[in-house]
Amino acid sequence: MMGIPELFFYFFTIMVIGIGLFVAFSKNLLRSAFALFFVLFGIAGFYVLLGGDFLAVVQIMVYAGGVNVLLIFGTMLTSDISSPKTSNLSFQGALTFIAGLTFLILLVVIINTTHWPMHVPGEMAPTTKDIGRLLLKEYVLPFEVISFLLLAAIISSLVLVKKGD
Amino acid sequence: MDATLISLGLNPMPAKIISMVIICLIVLIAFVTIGGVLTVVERRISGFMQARLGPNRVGPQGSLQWLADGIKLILKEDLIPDGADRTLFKIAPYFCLIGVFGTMVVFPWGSGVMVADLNVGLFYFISITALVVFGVLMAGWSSNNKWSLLGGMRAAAQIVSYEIPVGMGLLVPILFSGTLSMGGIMAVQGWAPWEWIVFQSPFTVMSFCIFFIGSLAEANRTPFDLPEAESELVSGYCTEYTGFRYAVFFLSEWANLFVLGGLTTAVFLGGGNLPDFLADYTFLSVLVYMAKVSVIIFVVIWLRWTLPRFRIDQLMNLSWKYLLPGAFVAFLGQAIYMLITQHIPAVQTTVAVLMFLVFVFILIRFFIRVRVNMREQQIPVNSPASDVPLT
Repeated sequence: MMGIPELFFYFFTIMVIGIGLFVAFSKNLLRSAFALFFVLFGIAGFYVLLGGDFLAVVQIMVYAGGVNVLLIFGTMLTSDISSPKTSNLSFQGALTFIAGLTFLILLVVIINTTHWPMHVPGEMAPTTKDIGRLLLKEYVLPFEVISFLLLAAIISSLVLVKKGD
Repeated sequence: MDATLISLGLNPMPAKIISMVIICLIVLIAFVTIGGVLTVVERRISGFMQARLGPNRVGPQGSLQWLADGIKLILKEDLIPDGADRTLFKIAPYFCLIGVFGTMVVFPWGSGVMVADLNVGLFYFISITALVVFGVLMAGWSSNNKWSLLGGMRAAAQIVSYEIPVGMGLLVPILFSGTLSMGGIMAVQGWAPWEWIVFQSPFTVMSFCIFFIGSLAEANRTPFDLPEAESELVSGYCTEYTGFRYAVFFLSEWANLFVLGGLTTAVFLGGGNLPDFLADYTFLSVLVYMAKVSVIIFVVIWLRWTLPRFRIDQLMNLSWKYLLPGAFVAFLGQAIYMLITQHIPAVQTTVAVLMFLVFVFILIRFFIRVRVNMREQQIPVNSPASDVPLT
């Protein structure tokens, strides 16, 4: 008999793939942007099934709550989004095709050559302590470099939008 | 509960699922009822503050008004405007509802009374409310109406920008308690006011104020209810909604008021903690918790009927130029304070008691001032219009 985690796994898989296809093929760009939310939410579900509770909540907060809202804002401010010329179904020709194909091949190669750590999730163990320790002890330099990069990005965007002098 | 069902002859798996469904139903019904009752409470209090009666006909003191309102709204025609994006228009209210009701997974009803004490509970609490932004944006866009769209955009911008001060304000209690779980945060506090997180140091008071102001804005409460500013935007994103969908929007709004009070109480005001000799009485703990939540809700309603509305630029200024730097200062200050006093608990207790005494002093001064004002004014409070002398 199938346990509850498997049931949820298949539910999330169908949700992510099905709605992902809708995002890619919908004629209405804004509906695609809204539907993307479910895809990101489903991925948070995968994290929960793998025992990464903190990562799942970060996924909801950053991607579903932050990035996707910005995406929707951007889509709403685009002019004429409902015309077929700007919708998903307009292909940009050979260049996009080559780029997409290359990326697909790259992904397949990476998935096949990497040795993935297998983890069988048992009980949900708290991960926040380990994440905090790793970030502030072992990986403190990369962490600080990324913080610095983000700070630079914030300041440069401020400089870009500053009016006049 | 599973054990009872298993003893009735059910398999463990269905028994577990059934008990989960029952618990969810109980919490859901409690939330819906509280949301409904709060609409009446708010209208009665606003009536009192504006020297009028408010709804007082249905049931004793109008206490069943919310049922009558609900029946009326369900019986109304469900209008969808021409040119609206029908699918998005239909599902938008439920996003708002899920965003608010999703919080009840980790909502603490008292010490030890909660559906699930997630290890990342507090973080989950603030991230699941992102769904509200979606519902609001979706409603604003799909209504095919300029007011709705502007209201939706304003609401989304407001919630997204106030999420940051709220999150930073919550960092101080997290720093103090060293955990993200709601149960853990309540457990480090005691029953006495000077054991609550809010009175631990000047910086926790500061973070409490920032958190409270920010969550008022996140819940679209006056003085930050710009998305629904009637004089500018009709009703904002719910202009085109009628009937049941409108009821869903408003239910989620008032449930959000309760969630705001609950989160503030659990994180800053000691939750439902009781003195040691009463610790076994869970019911009493729920009562204490509800009493604290009611006080917070009363303050929020009081603010709504006292303060005028902000302008949109003032709103953004407040968030980015005052609350956010303030939250950073509070966080750094609390970290340094804890580093200095970590080995001298006597100092910590003294500061906490001192903070509490200052609060009590301010409260007493406030009541004296109110009494003086009531004595000095010419026209008695809540007097009929005919008694007011024309000048």
